[in-house]
Amino acid sequence: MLTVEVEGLTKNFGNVQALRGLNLKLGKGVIGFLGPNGAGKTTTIGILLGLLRPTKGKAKVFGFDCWHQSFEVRKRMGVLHEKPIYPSSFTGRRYLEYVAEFYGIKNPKEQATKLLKDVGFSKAADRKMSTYSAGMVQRIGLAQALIGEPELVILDEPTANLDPIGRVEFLEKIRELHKEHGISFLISTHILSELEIVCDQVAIINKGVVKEQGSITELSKKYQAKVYMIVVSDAQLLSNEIEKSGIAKRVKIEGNKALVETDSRQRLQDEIIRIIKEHKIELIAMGPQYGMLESIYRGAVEEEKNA
Amino acid sequence: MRKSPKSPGRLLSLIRWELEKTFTFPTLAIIIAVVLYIFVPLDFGGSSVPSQVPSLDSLKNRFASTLTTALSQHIPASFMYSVFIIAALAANSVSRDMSSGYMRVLLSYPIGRTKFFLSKILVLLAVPFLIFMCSLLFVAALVSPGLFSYLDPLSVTYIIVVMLVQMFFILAISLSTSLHIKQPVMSFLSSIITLISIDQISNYLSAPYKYLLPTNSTQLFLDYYISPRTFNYTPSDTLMSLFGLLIIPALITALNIVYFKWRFQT
Repeated sequence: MLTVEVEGLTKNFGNVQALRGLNLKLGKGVIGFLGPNGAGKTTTIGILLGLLRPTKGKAKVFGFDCWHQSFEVRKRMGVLHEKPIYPSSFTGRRYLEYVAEFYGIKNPKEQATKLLKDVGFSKAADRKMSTYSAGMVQRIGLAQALIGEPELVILDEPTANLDPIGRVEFLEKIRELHKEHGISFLISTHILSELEIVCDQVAIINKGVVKEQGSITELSKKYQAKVYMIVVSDAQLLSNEIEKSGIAKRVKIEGNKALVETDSRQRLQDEIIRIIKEHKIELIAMGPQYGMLESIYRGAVEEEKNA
Repeated sequence: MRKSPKSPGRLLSLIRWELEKTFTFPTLAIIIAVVLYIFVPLDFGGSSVPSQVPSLDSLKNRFASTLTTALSQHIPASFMYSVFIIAALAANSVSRDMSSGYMRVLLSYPIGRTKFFLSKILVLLAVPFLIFMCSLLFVAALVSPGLFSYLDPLSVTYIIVVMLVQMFFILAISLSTSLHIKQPVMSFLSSIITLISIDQISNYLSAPYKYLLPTNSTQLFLDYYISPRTFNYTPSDTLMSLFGLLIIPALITALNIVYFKWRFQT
């Protein structure tokens, strides 16, 4: 069953066209929602939540129209907004209790305590939210998004305010929630390396239209890495030898790294092995310049730029 | 799947939420200070700007009557009080929530838009009214405890209802402004300017049209009940007052709710 189904979605803000006939079909799972700034991600999320009225087109979540049946949609969904604002005079626990009441949870206090424990936030729960750090607010944000066992949770820039360890813990939590409770996540973020850890599907939008959507494995076949980073003891010598061989479209040196653009990964590998053996250069590391998801993202977004 | 609670429960939750969010300690303290400040110069000192602290005797004389008279004397004071306090609260509760993005967070929960807006109306009407009444009774009881020896419940209820209706008019205009102006300070100033202009316009209008506006229509209602012998208004004056004080705010409120629902859906 499709969780999100969007057809020909258009949204205008005055003269600005934020979405231009967006089409999106997403199943269950952990889905990355990517795009450059101003691509229309937050507008799409606003429409899915029934907070914005589409100018044209249809958006459905679990088969419910996001505008006309937005109440039904919101009952089944949790959301963590980008830079969320919560009432500073409330304690984290009190806030969660209220949200649980809005969702019709019979025992809001119990639910709040459980979720605070789940997101690892029991100690500061009884402090006022005005005293919370950005990371603490983000954890409360995740807890409130999970109230009432939602079927889909939308996370808009969820790790933006977290430290590196906090980010890893946050993403592990998402993976765990998906595996154990079957909750689907739609994650909008710019930090692609993190998404790669948790996502199995991805949708990339740019200038209000979907550029690509599907499983990461399938898309990675289409957008294979073309630029490889080779760290060696003598990058200049390696660069000269690669250029002589004629297999590289472009070679660039950055310190002890050589960035090589080529269409044939295998031929490049063979050539590097030959060069390091022949010239006794030490090979320190080699791999694609960007991660799998970043390669897909760059491929999809830059394809349009080049066109 | 999430279960939807019965409607009243959610409305009560929203009312409690709004009360807890809006009426924190400094806000309440400021409102009480303002209302006490309004009472002292207007009624105990006898002038809007007291030159000195009024004597106890003059204070007693001002209140040496029945509670009905005391309440009816305070209707004009309640208008200015309501304009400032309700406009500030509406700007804080609606404009500030919208501009800060807090409204977006709250409306992402399964909350009916009508109930959400209704909870704001109820809280923003009830709390300033209760503070006003409690402060008034507190000051009156301190100065003249005998005030409560003769109590006419019907008259008191009538005056309280008139006062509430006047506050409702102010709230309807303030909420309408707050819904359209996202910047809280601008929203607050616009509400005050609009309401004071409405009040001032009434001085330039002739009967019966001037009874469309709140201070005149309130006075008509008070005269009708409190001083029926001197009541010399025409039926069209009374009709205009009814329309101005009841129908207009009700219509504005209905339009506010329709606009809010149109903007944020059900």
